[in-house]
Amino acid sequence: MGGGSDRIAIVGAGQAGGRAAVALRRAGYAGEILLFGSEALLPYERPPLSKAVLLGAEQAGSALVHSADDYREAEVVLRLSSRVARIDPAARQVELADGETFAWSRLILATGVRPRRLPMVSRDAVSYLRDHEDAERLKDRLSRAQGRLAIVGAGFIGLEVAASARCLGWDVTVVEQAPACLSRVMPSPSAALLAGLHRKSGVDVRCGVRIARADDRAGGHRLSFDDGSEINADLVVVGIGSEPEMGLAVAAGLSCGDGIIVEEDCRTDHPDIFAIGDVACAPNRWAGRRLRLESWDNAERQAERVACAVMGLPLPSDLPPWFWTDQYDWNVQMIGLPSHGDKLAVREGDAPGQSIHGYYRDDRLIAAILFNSGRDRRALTRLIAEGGAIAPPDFVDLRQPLRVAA
Amino acid sequence: MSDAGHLHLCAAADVAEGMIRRVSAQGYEPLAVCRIDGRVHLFADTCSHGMASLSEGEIEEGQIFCPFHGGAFDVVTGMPTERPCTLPIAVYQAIERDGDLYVAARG
Repeated sequence: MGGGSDRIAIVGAGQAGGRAAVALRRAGYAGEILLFGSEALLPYERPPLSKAVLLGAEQAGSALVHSADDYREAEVVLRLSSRVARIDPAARQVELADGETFAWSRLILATGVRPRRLPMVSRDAVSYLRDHEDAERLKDRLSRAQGRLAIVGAGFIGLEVAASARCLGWDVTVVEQAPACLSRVMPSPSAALLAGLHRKSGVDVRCGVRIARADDRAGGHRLSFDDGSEINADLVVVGIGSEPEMGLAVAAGLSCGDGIIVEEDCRTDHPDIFAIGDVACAPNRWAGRRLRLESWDNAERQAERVACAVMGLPLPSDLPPWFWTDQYDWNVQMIGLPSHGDKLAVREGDAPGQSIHGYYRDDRLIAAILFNSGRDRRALTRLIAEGGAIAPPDFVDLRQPLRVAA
Repeated sequence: MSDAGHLHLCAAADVAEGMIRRVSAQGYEPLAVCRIDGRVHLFADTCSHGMASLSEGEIEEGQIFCPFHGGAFDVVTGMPTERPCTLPIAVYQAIERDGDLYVAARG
């Protein structure tokens, strides 16, 4: 067993895995900490990949979750470029693709997600964006020569790539099979504001169309749609969502659904196996059900949470989910989980482009979407976390502070 | 104190209590200077998270809040105090003398 009697193995060296490794040590864990990652790089931040990296302002993978010194100080053993092939809950070991095995006393799965593939096109014909290599390749392509870019999927990734490519001078068309942009992530009045920003910036946004065929042509691609229309593009980027990387968990017999099923303390149905980050499907009190969240903030929070759970410390407070996206010179942040049936109240800002969309359910402010209003995020997070007792007339009145009514 | 060892930043009166402004000094990245409880704090103006100017942000409880994503740093230590900021920013010693603010020249 070696050090397995007091050793934590973390599988997956992304935002959640990297953060958890150091958080465990800082929370007082005295055993060995092993961090396995399939990529060669230290855990890095993914948010810049679709923005600063594509624009050439930052190198892919250069924004690190922790510095090499941080892992050294925390005595985290990094096993990068190491693909885990199998986890064995009964023998309590992980097996690498090359056959090497490591014993553990506790295991944390932070395996993340992979981009959902567009079935009718070959892997080589289109670009996906998930890791630093994808981002570098796409950046090279976008910076080489301008041309026509088709983006399939109007979610956060698709729209962020659209904005970056427009800024680089590409002709951009975004196609989405749903009737509107961002329909899976935010209610339509807020999504419409972002769609409008893209149209104003010269992006051809086409919703409600489904791809019927994709043909590679000399030096480009032709996409044909179910409404009979077609577009020709030099480059196609696909951003149609992600799927949890839960193959190891499924093979090990852990309970899985849309992700690896965990409890509040990130524990799976095996008492010594945990799952965190994009792959974990955890109880979410803001949704009133189990939910898998693909976000930087969720990865950060669950990394902290699992460290507390392992150490038997009280779990950190359960703040409303938080997302952000940067497109052109706009910053958009979402606090909470609004749904299409919620009632909207708009607090206009005092500068152009600034506004806050408040979403009400049963007379409570349950979510907010901030357009270029990042400085109000803390106040709104607190307000929503405390129950959102602010009447719509007070919420929309700029003279009123954003806080719970006394 | 306009000796070679110190670089002039601005007049001390230009940084009133609770205020922050952008300043520059040769050999330094863009800097921001603020005053809290009478004390002057000097640090890198560019947020370590995104390309944003901290001098356009707001000061609260000893922290500078970035105007872009709403992250924050402790103005004394430069350590991140609010997400999404996780990397520290550089902090420097500002010297207040005879109604002006200075920073040590970089050699």
